[in-house]
Amino acid sequence: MAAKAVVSRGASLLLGTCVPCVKTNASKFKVRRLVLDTYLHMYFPEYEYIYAHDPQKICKTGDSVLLKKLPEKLTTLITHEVDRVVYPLGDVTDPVTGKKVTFNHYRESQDAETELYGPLPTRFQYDKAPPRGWQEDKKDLTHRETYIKYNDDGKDQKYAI
Amino acid sequence: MSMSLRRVQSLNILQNFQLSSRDVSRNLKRDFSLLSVSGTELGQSGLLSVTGHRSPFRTYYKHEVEVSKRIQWKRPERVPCILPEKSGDLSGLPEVDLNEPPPLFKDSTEFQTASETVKRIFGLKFQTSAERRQAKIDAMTKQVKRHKLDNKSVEVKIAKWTAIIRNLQEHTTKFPQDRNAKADLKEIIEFRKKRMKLLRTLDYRRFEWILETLDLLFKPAPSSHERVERKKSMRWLTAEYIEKVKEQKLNEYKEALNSQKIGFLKSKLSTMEAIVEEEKAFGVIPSFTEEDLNQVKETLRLKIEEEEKMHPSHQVEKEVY
Repeated sequence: MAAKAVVSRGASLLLGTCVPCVKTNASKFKVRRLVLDTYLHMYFPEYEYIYAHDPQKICKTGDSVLLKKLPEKLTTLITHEVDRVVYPLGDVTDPVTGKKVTFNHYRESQDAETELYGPLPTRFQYDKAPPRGWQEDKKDLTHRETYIKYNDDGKDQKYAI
Repeated sequence: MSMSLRRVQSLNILQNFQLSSRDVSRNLKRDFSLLSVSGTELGQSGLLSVTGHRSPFRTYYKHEVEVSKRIQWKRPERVPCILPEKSGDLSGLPEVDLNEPPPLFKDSTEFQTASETVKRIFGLKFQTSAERRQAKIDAMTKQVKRHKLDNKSVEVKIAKWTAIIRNLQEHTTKFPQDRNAKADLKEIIEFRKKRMKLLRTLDYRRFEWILETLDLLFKPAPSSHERVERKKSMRWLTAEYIEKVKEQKLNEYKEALNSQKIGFLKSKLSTMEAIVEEEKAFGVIPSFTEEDLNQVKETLRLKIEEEEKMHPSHQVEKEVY
């Protein structure tokens, strides 16, 4: 896989998508690169997985993150570090107006619409809601890779399907 | 029983061995007999005891016996996808009072002024099952509504599907032969899961709030589908077991080294002091300064404190009168 080594060896800055990872001080990222097929004269995507140093675990599965190459490898696996989270998943900001967006409309306009009908206390409120990730490892198990249950050992296997 | 030529040859070699030397034969008998594998020895230490010379073709059987004792594989029972364990519904439907009238009659003056018997007949208990189901759906959507007329927001839709799913799950337990219901149920569960996945990418905080209010568990699909097979599972379990043994051995070794630290530091300190004294007596500049000695003393003190914290057996017992 000569083409695959190009990504980690070459560019000092990379944009990757976070994927589930068990490591405590690092996150795993999927980096896409388009490779030209000279026979078909078409570009096809190739993927490489990179581990980046992330001691606070700020990256969630699905975040688009800017990665910086480390001057020296931390371990045999960890070659990069997390520079910043560019697009946090499910927390979109409109780059033109700087307003928060849900689906295809602003959160403000959504709240204004609710105000017109007369809001109920049962509704979801962004100001009162806790920050993203409060259900992690409780009811939202997207931070870990799941597997198909292959052994019945009598214990509760949380991440088995 | 057919035997390969190679195995026959190897057995002959063994017999020759036994004839040639009595000690060797005794060793071989001890090592290769299956009875020598004692359960207590294996269970406590969890390590293979390697003694004497071993031949690969005979140790194979012993190895197999030991593996079956430590690593056991049991095929998991198939859980149907329509059950709450798989669909992620941690609780049932909200309770609905069956003596209440359907929502359509609730505000009508005629119903309120009617006699008790009329009210009883018009209660949910004597209505159609569709009415009762609608009452359950209403109770579910009430938990997440934005405003009174809200019936199209994402959270209301998910609540509605959740109510339908839970109602059908109850139905399928009562009537397991209803295949149409099962097929519908599977379809709705998958539909809801897809929508939840989409909601997570678009509005993560609302997604988490829905999980909490509707009591749902969200498990993402595995990245690759692995068939459940005995051989593959045994390989994975063996890898797991090896990791465990490695960790255990490493921890034991670390403890053994740590226990030697205090003694080593004491002897180091005494030798350093002796060297310094001797050098002073001969009028040579000492090779260790006061700082070096103090550093060793400090580390020794810290080590002893740590040891006392870990094993507080050195504490003086108070006499009770």
